[in-house]
Amino acid sequence: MEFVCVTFEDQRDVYVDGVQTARTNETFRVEEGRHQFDLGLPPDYDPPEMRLTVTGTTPIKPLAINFSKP
Amino acid sequence: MKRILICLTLAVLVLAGCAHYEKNPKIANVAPKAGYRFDNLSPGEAGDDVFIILTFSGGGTRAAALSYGVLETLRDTRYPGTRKTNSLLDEVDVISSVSGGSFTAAYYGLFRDEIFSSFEKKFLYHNIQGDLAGMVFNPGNWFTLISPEFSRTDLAVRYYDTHVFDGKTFGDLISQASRPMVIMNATDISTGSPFSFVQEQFDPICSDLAGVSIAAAATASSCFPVAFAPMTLNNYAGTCSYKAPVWVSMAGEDMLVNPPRYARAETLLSYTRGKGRPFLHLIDGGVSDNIGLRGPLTSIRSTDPALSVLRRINRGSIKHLVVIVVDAKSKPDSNLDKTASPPGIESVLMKVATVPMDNYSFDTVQALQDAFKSWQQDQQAYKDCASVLDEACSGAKMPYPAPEEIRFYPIYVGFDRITPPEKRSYFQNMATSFHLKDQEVTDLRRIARKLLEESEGFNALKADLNAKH
Repeated sequence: MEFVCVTFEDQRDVYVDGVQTARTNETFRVEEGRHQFDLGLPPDYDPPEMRLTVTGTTPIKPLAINFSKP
Repeated sequence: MKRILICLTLAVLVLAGCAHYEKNPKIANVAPKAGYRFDNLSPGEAGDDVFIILTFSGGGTRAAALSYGVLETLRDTRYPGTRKTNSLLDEVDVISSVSGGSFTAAYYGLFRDEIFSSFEKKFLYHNIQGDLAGMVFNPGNWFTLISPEFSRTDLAVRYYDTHVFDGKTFGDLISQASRPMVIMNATDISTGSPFSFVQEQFDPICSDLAGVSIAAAATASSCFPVAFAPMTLNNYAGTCSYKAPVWVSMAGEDMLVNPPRYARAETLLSYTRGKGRPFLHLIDGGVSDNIGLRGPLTSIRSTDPALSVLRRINRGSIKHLVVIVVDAKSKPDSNLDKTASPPGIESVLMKVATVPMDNYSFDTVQALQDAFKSWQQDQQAYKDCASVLDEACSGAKMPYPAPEEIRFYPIYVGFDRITPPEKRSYFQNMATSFHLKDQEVTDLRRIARKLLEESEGFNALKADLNAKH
């Protein structure tokens, strides 16, 4: 099991591989491997999506992904 | 005389030519909001807080009766709440089944509590095996069996459709619009992968599961190799604008990082190559997973499947995750090692067919235990780290919030847990057949109740929910 924390200044849904999966600024679990992350609509964030391989994380040190407002 | 013979021969050929396997219907366009999908089934008043997954193994009537005993026990386990029934059975969200277990699962999915008044007579205590053999030996069916597109398997579909499932289809399950979702599993003979009767599996082959009979799914799930011919499905891939989910393209890069995920994606893509695979052939689900646990395990560990338990945990909707594995695995006494002469071809074939299944089942149960243990260790590690940080630096906060915390209840209902050994041997030596003695069926129902009620996980769940029997 791998751990991810997507940060953004607002509370938003996090989409993993195109499906609503978690909330921003919370730690959540994903299966090890390559995933696409975005915040869905409205597309008021940058970058529009991130594709990353998630591996070797722990709940104490999740993969941190940051989206920001342009 | 010659004319009569020619006429008779022609009549036989015409009759045989008419016989055809049940064709799965085509779908014009994939409709993600329609069809037999978990998201289209309401949890009702039960909600997701307590999420219960049941897996029913193969093993003919032995498996059907053991899983039926588990349903009876869940029905009789009540806990305080505001709803009308408050039975643990009402909390069941998913039933994943294989072979013999699929009959109990499908019957409960279709008829719900009515199972407790009609299933015993119609299936458990009925000589299904005798009826099936009678159909094969009935000369009236020989004409149809001559057809290359009709087999004993299709006769079995007709029998189950008429005598067990009252002509119901997946459309009837969809119209219930409520959980549990029943996932009957067969094996795709070409890929060796589980093939589940859910709309997500039928989307890539552009077929509408709603028009498929429950009997066809149960038969495919229990199509024991050699005894029954594989069941055929038409693959209409490329005719319905199907697009593979995003995870499939992501997993395409995971061959080194996560090979099982890569393999799942490859299997799914193999169905979209309709020109290369215009037909699919399905055999007993036990060949790829004899306890029906592989699918649920993936849904617990991954956000990929449409039915992802992990996604629900991430959203905080599941607080108690219960997985009850009902395993009717037999272990008949063997005489193979009592003589110097090597076993005959029949014994060897039987061993080759069943030993890998049993070993794989054992590994799958272990994988579930390992997954739950690893989750608990992760949860504990976070708490310990937060505690150490607080001791060393009072008031300091962890840099990242804790993931959602849940409680796990792995429960195994299988003969291996029976004591004393003599009693265990009685159950492990029961035949794999669709006909058992009445006393054997009754004993299986009783032992299911005993094993469930004595299991540590079940008692922990009851204590946490303040449930009573």
